[in-house]
Amino acid sequence: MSSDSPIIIVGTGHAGLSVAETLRRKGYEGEVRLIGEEPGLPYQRPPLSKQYLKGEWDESRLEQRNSGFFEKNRIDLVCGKAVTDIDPASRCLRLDDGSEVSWARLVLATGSRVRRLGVPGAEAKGVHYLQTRADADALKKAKENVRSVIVVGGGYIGLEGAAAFAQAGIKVTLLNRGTQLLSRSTSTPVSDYFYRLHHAQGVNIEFNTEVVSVNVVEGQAVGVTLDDGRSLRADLILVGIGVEPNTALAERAGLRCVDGVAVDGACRTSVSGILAAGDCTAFTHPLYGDTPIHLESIQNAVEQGRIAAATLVGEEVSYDAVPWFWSDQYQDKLQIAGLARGHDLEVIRGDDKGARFSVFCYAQRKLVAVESVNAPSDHMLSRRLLKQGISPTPDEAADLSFSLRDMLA
Amino acid sequence: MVRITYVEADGRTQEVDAQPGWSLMEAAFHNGIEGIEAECGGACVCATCHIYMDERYLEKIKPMESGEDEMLDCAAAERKPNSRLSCQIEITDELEGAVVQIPETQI
Repeated sequence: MSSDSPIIIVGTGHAGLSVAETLRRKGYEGEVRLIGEEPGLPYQRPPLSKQYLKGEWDESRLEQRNSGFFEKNRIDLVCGKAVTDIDPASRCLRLDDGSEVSWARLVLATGSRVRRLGVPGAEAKGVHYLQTRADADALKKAKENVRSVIVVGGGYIGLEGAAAFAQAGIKVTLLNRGTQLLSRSTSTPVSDYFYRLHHAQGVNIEFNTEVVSVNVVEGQAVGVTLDDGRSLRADLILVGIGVEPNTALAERAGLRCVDGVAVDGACRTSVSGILAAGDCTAFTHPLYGDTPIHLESIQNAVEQGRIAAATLVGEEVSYDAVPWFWSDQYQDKLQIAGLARGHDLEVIRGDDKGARFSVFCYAQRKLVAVESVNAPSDHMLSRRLLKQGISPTPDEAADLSFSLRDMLA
Repeated sequence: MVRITYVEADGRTQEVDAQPGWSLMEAAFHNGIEGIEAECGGACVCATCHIYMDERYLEKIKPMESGEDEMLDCAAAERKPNSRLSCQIEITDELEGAVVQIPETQI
């Protein structure tokens, strides 16, 4: 066996699969092993809070690739096994069944884990999270018998969960810590739009509120107590208060980690022979200056996976993809191109009180992000504008008769 | 199952037994067909599952809605009269034998 094989990939999420698949597409002939903690074939995560939770999709439809794909591409899939330790010196890792696996090159695609609600009572039955297929299965089952739900957190998971419950005729109260929804990721006009959307669907949204405890009767959560002293009752509690990168393995092995496993533009970590991709990483991005960024998205997982594979086969690559995200709630679609961190100007294209508009976010007159509600063409064109470093002036962005397409090279 | 043939940009063909009710994108994705990126998993938000639909079958599929039409205008490869987003085409028994051409680029 040559010294570049085997390649072991830790994590069977979007990033890990992308590494394995891209290695084969690029003609890598060595051994590829994909090791993951969760049982079953790798699956898509975005539909968990959407089609799968609503019961529109079955389990097979969630799967990323069929079993034949893994055989045909000689990707050795090891499911239901957690990696407990990695040792860069001996290039060896240990699994939770005690067995050891040697690697020539290693890719960490360990993803992120949900932030838990750290208040008394939070471990009770009836408190749910939504990140894995098992979480979604539990939630789907519980959903059949509930009439009221409290959603903690006004981010994407909270809002998509709230939409799925409201559409099933369940009474939803959503508790948001700050003064606006999606505050970490979107501009004010967009968060206001989603507030009105959920309000119109009957979701009761409370701002500036924190849960101080989960009220429990006989081991079962029956509601929450808020910081203003009020108690709210509900049959089920869904917590969506964010995720944290899974860096424990990397940290213990001495890899440099700062809000994620530190990687360069080629997805190399601080230790030779070990790469990382996806939610678990932090890196500087040519479009966003010297401060490292950390992304939790499919786009980043898939594209960093491709970059890591390219690096592994000896290509010279550097990650410069424009970040993008999306969310489906009810019939509405939010699409975000770029990152709106530290922007100082928001320009609305279209009618933000209507059902279709985009918000162009500028930092020092440079376009940094575009958030589109039911305006897919604005989104696609903006991705290219950002990629090419082209900024329409604020007046041009606001003018619907101005063609964004004509600006593109 | 419904037999669909995907023709990759370099001319390689792959026959797939596709599940009725799924989309043409999902059948391709599930079998790892190269060239249908489907980054968004079928939400009609990324235009990376662009295909040229078998012209003999164009009347057997639902006409496109405005969202798809818009996204196709933004697709990376040339838009042709038979361009569709494969995530928006539901597989039915009527598509048996269809040949789907994949463009050279999606991104």
